[in-house]
Amino acid sequence: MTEKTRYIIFSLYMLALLIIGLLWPGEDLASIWGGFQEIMKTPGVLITDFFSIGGVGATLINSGLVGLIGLGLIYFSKTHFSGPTIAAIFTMAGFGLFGKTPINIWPIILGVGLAAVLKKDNFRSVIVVALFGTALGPLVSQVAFGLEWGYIPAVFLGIGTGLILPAMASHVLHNHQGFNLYNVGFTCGIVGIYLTAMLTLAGEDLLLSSVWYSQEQWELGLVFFLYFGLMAVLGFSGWKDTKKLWKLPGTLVTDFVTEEGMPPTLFNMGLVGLIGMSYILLVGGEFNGPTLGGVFTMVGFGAFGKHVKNIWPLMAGVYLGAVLSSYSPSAPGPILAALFGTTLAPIAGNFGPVIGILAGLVHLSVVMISGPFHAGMNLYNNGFAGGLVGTVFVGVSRWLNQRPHKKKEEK
Amino acid sequence: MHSYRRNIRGIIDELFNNAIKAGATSIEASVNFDGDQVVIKVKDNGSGMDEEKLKEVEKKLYRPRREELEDYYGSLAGQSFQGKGLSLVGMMTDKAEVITAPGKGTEITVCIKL
Repeated sequence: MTEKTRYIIFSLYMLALLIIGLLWPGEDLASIWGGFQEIMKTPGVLITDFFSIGGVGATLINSGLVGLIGLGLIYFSKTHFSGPTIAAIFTMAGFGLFGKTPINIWPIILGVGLAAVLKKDNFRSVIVVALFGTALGPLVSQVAFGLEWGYIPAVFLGIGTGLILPAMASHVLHNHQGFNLYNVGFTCGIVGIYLTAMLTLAGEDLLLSSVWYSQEQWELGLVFFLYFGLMAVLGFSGWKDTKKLWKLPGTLVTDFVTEEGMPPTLFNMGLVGLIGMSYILLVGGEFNGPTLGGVFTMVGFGAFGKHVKNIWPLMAGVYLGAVLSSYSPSAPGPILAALFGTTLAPIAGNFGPVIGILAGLVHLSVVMISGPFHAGMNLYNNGFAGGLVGTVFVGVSRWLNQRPHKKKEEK
Repeated sequence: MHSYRRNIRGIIDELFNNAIKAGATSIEASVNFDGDQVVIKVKDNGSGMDEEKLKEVEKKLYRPRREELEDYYGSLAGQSFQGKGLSLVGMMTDKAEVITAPGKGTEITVCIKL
């Protein structure tokens, strides 16, 4: 499958969101436009379900636009369109359902781009960080509309934050050695802690949000089962090679498109999406912005590290953790932890399902308390928690690997 | 201009890992700046490779250079604590050559255009 065909397929996937949004039953153009404007003005910190803010139609349009902006940046910067960039597009579109807007992502992208200019490098060398770095979009919205500082100061803050992301993102990789797939989430979590501290010092009272949509379940479920199912159908011709792909541990950097080609990758992406959707259904969760955003992100990383065999232990671990504790598996925190917790899929891929289940269990405990650290301004809260969990797991594993085996000689 | 100095270090680390994994007891490395390119050569006396293994390594080494990944993920090169061989060198280099035979060690040469 040529790069041009890949562009066509994924552009159509993003355009489909716009079309579904425009045709969503019970919503006319005026209500969609009104909803879209509401979404642009909302702070968007975790957890703000855009379905509740602006309606389903406007949210899907927002999601498609955010994805298309990412796709456009990849195209015009002549970046190789492959695993990491596919992951970035679907992550952006997914968070376009609960936090990212065309307005709040630009300052971060500009900041990251400026970092490349200052290093006399080209935008292509930082594009992956720029796209994933839009996780801090709510920083811009929160400062502009939540704290009412105005859009200009918010833009400057966003650019300044974007400026340090490339350096930080590359640096924090060492902590978890590529075992946390949402590395920029880990980065943005750390940066978010400092931003939260500074804004608090400036006298601002930063609060988390809890807006969760629970209507039109049947319609949303049906549409997105078909949306992801079609992906598996499109990639079905590569199902035999998908088995080879499932043998890969998935640690950064594992580009499935480079490893086995597009059809098996597409098949895997579709299956990963169907697993995410089925999990929501099985635990009695709700199809809404955050949960569907979780599935979108899983699907994106279905081209860049996640596959059927390395995600289930994490999901099982989170489910087990919820059942053993006081949490309901279908409550917002645990259900998002199960979907986004697959950021640690390489742990299961490398160390096996038992360690993977354990990682999922630990991940749930960390992610349930990590949101307030960055006041919900880092949308990839699970990436942040995953970075913390990955750091511990990798640290301990490394230590175990390095234990001396010379006891006999010492005697 | 990329952060090529850090990348060179990572590439050498990764090639060293590969040599150690092959049981090498002697490893020679050289880095030569030649006009607008850097040539890195690592030679070891490890177990060498049979045809099947060589194909696998060549698949990794002959990947196209990935400018969008090398600055960001390049810092992971040579960091694998599990002693995995080559994973990132291919995407950080423009050209590669492997000379090897079973039981006779391996010599890998890679070039980076600056």
